[in-house]
Amino acid sequence: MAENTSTNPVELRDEFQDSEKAQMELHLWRRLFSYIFQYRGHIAIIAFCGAVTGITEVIPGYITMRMVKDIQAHGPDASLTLWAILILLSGFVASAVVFGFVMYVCKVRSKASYKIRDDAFRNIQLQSFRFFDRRPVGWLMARLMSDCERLSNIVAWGFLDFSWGTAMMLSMAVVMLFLNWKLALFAFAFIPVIAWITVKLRRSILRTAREVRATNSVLTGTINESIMGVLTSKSFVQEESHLEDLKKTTNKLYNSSVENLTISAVYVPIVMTTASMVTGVTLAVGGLEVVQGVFVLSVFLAFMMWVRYFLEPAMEMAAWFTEMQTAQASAERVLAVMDAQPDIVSKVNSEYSTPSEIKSVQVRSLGFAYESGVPVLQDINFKINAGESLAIVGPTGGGKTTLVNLLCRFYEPTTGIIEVNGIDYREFSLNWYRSQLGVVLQHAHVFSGPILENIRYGRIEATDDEVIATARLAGAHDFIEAMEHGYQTNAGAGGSKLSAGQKQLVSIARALLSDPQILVFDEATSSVDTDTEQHIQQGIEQLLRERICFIIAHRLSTVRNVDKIAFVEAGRIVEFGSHIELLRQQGRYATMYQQQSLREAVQSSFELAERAKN
Amino acid sequence: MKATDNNKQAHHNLWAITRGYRLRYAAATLCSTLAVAGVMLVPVIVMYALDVIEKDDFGYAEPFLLAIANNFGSATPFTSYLVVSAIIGLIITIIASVLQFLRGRLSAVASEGIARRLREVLFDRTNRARAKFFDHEEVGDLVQRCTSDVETLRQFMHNDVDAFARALLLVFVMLPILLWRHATLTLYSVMLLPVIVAGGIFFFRFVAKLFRTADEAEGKLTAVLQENLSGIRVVQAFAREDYEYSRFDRENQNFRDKYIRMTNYESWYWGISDFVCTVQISIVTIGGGYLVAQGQLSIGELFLFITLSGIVVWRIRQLIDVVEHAGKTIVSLERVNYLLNAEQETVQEYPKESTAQGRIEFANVSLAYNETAQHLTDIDLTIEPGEKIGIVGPPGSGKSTLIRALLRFYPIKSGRILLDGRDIQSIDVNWLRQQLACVLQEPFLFSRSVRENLFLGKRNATDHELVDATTQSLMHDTITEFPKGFDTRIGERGVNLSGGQRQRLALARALVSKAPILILDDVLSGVDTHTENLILSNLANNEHQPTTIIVAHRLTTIRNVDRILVMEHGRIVQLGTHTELLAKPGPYRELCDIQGLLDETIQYETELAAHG
Repeated sequence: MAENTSTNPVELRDEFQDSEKAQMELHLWRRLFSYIFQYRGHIAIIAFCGAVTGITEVIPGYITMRMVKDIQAHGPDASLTLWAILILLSGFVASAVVFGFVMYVCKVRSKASYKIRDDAFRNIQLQSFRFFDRRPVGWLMARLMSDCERLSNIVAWGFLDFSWGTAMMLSMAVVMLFLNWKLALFAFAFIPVIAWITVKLRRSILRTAREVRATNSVLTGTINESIMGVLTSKSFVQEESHLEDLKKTTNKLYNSSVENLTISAVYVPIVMTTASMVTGVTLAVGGLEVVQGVFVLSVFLAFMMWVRYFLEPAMEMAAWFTEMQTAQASAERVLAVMDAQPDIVSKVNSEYSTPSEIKSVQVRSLGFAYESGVPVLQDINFKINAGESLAIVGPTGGGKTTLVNLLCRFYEPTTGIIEVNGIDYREFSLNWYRSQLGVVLQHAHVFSGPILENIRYGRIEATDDEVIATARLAGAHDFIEAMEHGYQTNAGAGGSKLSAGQKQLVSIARALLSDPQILVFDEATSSVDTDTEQHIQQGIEQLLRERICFIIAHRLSTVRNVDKIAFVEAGRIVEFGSHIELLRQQGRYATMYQQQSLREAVQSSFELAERAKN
Repeated sequence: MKATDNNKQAHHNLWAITRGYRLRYAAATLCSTLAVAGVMLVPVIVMYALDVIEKDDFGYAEPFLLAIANNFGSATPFTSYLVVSAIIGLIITIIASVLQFLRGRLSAVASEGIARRLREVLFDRTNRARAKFFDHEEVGDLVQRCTSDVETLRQFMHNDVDAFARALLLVFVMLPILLWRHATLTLYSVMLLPVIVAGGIFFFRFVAKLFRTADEAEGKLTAVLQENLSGIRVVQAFAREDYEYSRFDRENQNFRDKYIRMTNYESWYWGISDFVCTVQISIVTIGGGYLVAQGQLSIGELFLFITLSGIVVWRIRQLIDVVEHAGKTIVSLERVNYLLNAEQETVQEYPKESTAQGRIEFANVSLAYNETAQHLTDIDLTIEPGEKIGIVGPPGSGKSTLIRALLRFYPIKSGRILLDGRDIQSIDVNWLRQQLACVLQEPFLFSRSVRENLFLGKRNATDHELVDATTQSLMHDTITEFPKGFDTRIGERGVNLSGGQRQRLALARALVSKAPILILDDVLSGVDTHTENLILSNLANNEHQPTTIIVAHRLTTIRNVDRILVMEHGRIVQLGTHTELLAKPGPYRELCDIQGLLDETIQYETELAAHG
């Protein structure tokens, strides 16, 4: 992040833009369905169980019909044993398939969601800083957690409902048409009606639900921020105004939620009424036919039982259809994360083998621009050999961090090349190159978990003693020992339990532990006192002897002992050379250097004060 | 003992939050009862129609329907009777539908209203909780308590709060209808209901633990992901992608497996309960059939029994969802209660003066964040109004802690801190903080516009004041370069600021307030020396000269202060003017030696460079 991204604000597409495209983008769904279809055995079981469930829905009505027919024929002598056995048997089968589909749909659902998340996570790890500059952590989290769950639910349960619904509608249609085609057609006429109502209402429900979700995410953001910045708010006594701000959001949420729930509350009553129309029609028409003698009472009874729920599959399937339509945007976003092409790719079959030691890093006519096209770095040239250090100095926003990020291959040059041992560094494996680096980033990031483990992150296999020795080297040992649980103290999320200086010391220890060939310090000691800093410098002097080191610093005491200094301003190296050489030039560096002198500083502030008076 | 008292208090709070909405719930329950009664009346009408058809005799008809049908005077009496039955059935359903809708609407307004109030109360309680409270809490967890836990409660209030009542009512509406037709068969129709309920509760108890493990697995997965994504730059810098993947995969697999384990048990529940329900309906069907054969029951009545017991049985089975939700709701309730009970900052005497003079006194102050370590020991320090104090010391020496104690973020263990001679414990904390313009270490900026961020210092500050403050902190030119100037949004979706820019904006925010005391905690660390020089002279030349405390790491930053404080291990080891401290051997002189050496070198080298 930091200075480099300040030049390219990128608007993110709103996360809640669930689009209602008239067209289903089938290729998206084909991809997602392939995640469940790879479990062929499971899918076969689900299809079978769903279909059998659909068919068994017809049976109780049918058995009742046959039983009543028997009773009417035989009176009190009618034997009901057969019907009792059959109805229990069908109940058993129905329960068995319910058991089967619940189990396998849940299995497939979980496995699909696991796999989608897995694919997305792996691809995310391959992305360069560019990708993360534009995508906030919260946005990616939503893709990997809630979107994954939502989509896997849609495909798995949707598939079940499809097989169940089709089977049920077909078997109902066959039985009813066979028994009384006229009455059946009357009833069937309501299927499109209920499907239409469902699609229409579901759409408004989902539209308002989207509003609710969007407002909810604003609310979460507001709460999140207020807690993260709670000390700042307290120091400015903002509790009251924060509450006022929140009330705007909670009111909006209230209104959209009530609207959403009200529309939902309309749906069930409408379905009830429609179903009762079917019952009414069947009752009037069918009853009359029975009286006229063209229809049998027992069959009529079965019809009355069936029409209560034969609209269900149409409703369910219409609901899934609209759900899929609205979830299409989620699908797009998740697949986009999965398919994102990393713009930094590790070369697979390089003709160069990885060198055992890095002898030099050379930058040739390097240029770099972010998406906006505005060049951030231009025409950078230098060469650093093993055992040498390069300090990069200059005013804020000049491109120092960008240069260091390019050296680390977090970004790749837009023009020019960076050579390691005379070979373009893109020829080497990314993993190998990064493993040679020990980096302290501008914003020292510390993971939650014990401090010991945080430092060990530099080299996972390091022993506790090695970790502690390195912590001493980095000047971190004393403060860690003084903490409540010493090295086992939890650093808190994002290192919240540590001060800025402490985080920097932990990050330095982590970088040193990795025993890197190239050390990169981006303002690594800005929040550390001069004494501690000197201590660190002395500590790592030995270590730096055979290595390459890049340092960005504002405190020139950090810089003056370094072999070479690049003064970077407005994306160019305006001065380059050793400390003495640059002083001789009496240019930008020399001026900056002199300002570090306490005496000089006092004098200059006198001058400024004088000037202000005049 | 104390815990229970707290609980009582909180329940009282939650109960108080529902005030004004309780009647709506009662009305909602009434509506849904009537709707249920309506739904059950329709099969009764169908029963009459079936009886009439079966017996071919109007003697079995519902007299009311028959009376209407007779007035119709259509072709055949059967036609009019059936049509009237269908229409009356439809009308009853429509009335029931309207009631059903009203129930939804009423409970929507009630549950959303309560949820809104709860969100606001929780938010406010959290914001006003003592700073110490946040030491042991994760931000994500607190946010969850304010959002998803409230959501769980809201859903429960909307869908489930009256579900038990509705299920019971269903049974109580059904029983008289069925008893009226056939007592014994009624008994048979409900004989398995207790089994379903008991089975559901038993099952829930059994799987509650599995639910929790699945939830925890999801929590862990979320945490691992969050860690990975927020530290992705470090991950890549150390080429730890494989290690991270294995950590992620472990949790991802664990989540999947725990979830499948839970749903495996669920599928047993759904299968078995499904079977019990079908057995119940089979009993009604076959038993009813037997009675029909014996002539004790009409076909219409058989229909009535099958239909009503069908409605009730499946509804009762669905109660397991409610039980499950209730389980989650109880957990959420506890979590929400916890926040409601967070210790609040106290409101105290509000001093008459609108602004303080700025005299600060630490008298023998000690502070400890926890039992094992002492973080400030015996701090004695008096700062006069308008005086400037510089604090130096290694990381963890207590510099920031001193400032936090002054802001009353943390209670001190012993001693007193006085502002204008008054113990800060006794004055209103908000007033106190209004006297202190702070730039904290790693300043927090809100993802709002630049202007709104500056408004934190002074609400509705004029443009002139904003320009003045940002000019002093050398941020004005940078802001005017932003696409929308002062209205540019900061943060994830707007402009990302560099460390130095953030610090300068935070400084401007503090300057806008023109408070009598200015506190700068490591504010200029990300700013180059030249810029720092200019900012410091701006501050020095300002008309408004507040009492100032500057924590710094570069001696150049504190060059203009009146006195310097050196801290180590939570103690003041040295205090005095630059000259005084330089005269004595000690840590400050060591710092100066480093710097002095540097000074000399700078002078020497500059001369050398100039002449050579």
